[in-house]
Amino acid sequence: MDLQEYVLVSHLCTQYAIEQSFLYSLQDNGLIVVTTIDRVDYLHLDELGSLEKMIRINRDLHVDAAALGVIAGLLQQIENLQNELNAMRNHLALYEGE
Amino acid sequence: MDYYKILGVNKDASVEEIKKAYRKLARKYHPDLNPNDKEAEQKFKEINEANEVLTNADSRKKYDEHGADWKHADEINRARAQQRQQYSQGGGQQFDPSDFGGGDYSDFFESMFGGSGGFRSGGRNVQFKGQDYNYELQLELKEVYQTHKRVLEVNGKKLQLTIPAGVENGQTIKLKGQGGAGANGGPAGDVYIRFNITNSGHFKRDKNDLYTTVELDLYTALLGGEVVADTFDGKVKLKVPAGTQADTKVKLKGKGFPVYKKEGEFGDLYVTYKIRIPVQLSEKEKELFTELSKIRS
Repeated sequence: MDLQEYVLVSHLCTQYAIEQSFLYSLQDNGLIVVTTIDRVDYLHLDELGSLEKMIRINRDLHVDAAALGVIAGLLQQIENLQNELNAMRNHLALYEGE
Repeated sequence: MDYYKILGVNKDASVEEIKKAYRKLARKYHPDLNPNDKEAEQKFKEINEANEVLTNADSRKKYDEHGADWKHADEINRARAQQRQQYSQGGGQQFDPSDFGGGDYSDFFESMFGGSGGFRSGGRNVQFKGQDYNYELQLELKEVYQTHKRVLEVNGKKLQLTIPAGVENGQTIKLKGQGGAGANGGPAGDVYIRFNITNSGHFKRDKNDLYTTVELDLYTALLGGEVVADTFDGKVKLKVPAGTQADTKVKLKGKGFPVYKKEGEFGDLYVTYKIRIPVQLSEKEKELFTELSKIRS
């Protein structure tokens, strides 16, 4: 495991000025994955984008972690539908102009 | 730009009413809830700016007094005072508020919010990832048949991009860390490139498979023979069995489009036979076809 790809949770909370409880509530709602290495909690760099998105929505819209979980689920559904729509559009192009 | 109109409130609205209107619109237009929607992002910037200005008593007062030039209210007031002084002393230049530039909200917005995908994130002095940039790249189908490099100019800097063969129409790829600089030492944003792949050739594509039609003359369809068909990277000779029906589909395995990020793997090519019926028959041909029809019936 390359520790360079992980950021200390405590460091993140300081940098983003968030409570650790908020970060762990995001984990409880399945929005991020906290990794424990030698009893120290880290967040993988790939999780940063999700964390920042949740912080923005939380701060801008005053949405709590539970509601963020619902929003993230719906956004994922939208993304899946958009991908499906794109695939259908490409497939439909096969029959257009025949 | 009318901040009151943007938030849909009256000019005498209370701060609480303004905040309420802002929250309602922010929920609707927040960029994180409207990914890849530039219109929503723009709208969110506008409502954010309107909210920031109208919920601050000092800036609201300046805005009410000076409208679009409110940002330069102090300069305007200073200039007016100077102007009055000059007139009282006799002569002097006319003051033009437009000297301070137009009322473009974005300068103001950028200076206040910056980073974080270009929208507000609390205003505290925290590290944030830089702005993400979205680009659309238009390519012809034949251009994505092979992996190739291309130089793109993104936000004023040149980026060398490797476009993998087999990329799909509508697919988006991320160039990590190539976006705007992070705020307060945060990581750089990303660049998202969306591919808009046009197809003006005679091959139709569905994921990794290609589709084309080949015309057979009546006699080859009836008696069998050979036909040369185009593939994406050359020609192939196909054996046509006797009695081939119109719209018969044959699959040429591995002659389709490259599979995205799987070097050496290809989809299939489906060839549909169209049978060309002879027209303008000579008397002799008519006679022979009539004879043939009698044999069959």
